[in-house]
Amino acid sequence: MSVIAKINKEEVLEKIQEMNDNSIWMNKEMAVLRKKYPNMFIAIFKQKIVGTNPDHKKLIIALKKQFGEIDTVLIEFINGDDHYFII
Amino acid sequence: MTSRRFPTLVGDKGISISCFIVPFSKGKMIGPIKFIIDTGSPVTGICEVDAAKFDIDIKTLPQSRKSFGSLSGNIQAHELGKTKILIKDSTGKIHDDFDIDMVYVFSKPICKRRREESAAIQSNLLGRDFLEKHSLKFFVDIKNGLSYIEE
Repeated sequence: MSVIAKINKEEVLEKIQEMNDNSIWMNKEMAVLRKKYPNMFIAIFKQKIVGTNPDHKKLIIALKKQFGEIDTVLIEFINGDDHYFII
Repeated sequence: MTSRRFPTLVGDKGISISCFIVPFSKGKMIGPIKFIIDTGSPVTGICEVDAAKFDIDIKTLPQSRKSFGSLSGNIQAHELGKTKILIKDSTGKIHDDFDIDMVYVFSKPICKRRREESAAIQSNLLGRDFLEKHSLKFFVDIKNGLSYIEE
């Protein structure tokens, strides 16, 4: 049976869009974020910063405590201005 | 049959696409996961940040026998196994006919000195394996912020 048959298509689309919106917002604000949160993990939810921590595990614990479900929270590591990130 | 187009985002950390995954071993949908499309990576994998976010316990997964080298040095990887990918096309339709034979979960660099957060792989990577398996083309126009995957 197709996976599609078992999922809520609207919910999937909505969550992907939410993640994209958070990514677009982060890209737009990157210069500010680099200055404010260098070498930190940041959490973005509905295009707002909802948490920061240099340790991703501590950040995730705090977010789960605050929101419960955090699947549409974008968590990213922000490099400082003097640091290039290469995959 | 008309070719399908899947929009991707040009961003500070690379070209990304958000999708859901369904690992066959888990049988449940996980996501949305933001993948960086990495044509330099032969494999697809999830970073330990998103593994923790989605409660994927790497201790329950088999450790890969393969070694993985990155700019952070050699890293450990665990095997999530064969995984279906749910991906949104340019018309807003979700497609579930894509899969990857092996998705890995990347963890810390093996060398203790390099185990600081900034040295670990921080992104989920959608590798060449995905593009190759499904004969997908990847177009990028960095200057104009336009990119997409197409069949």
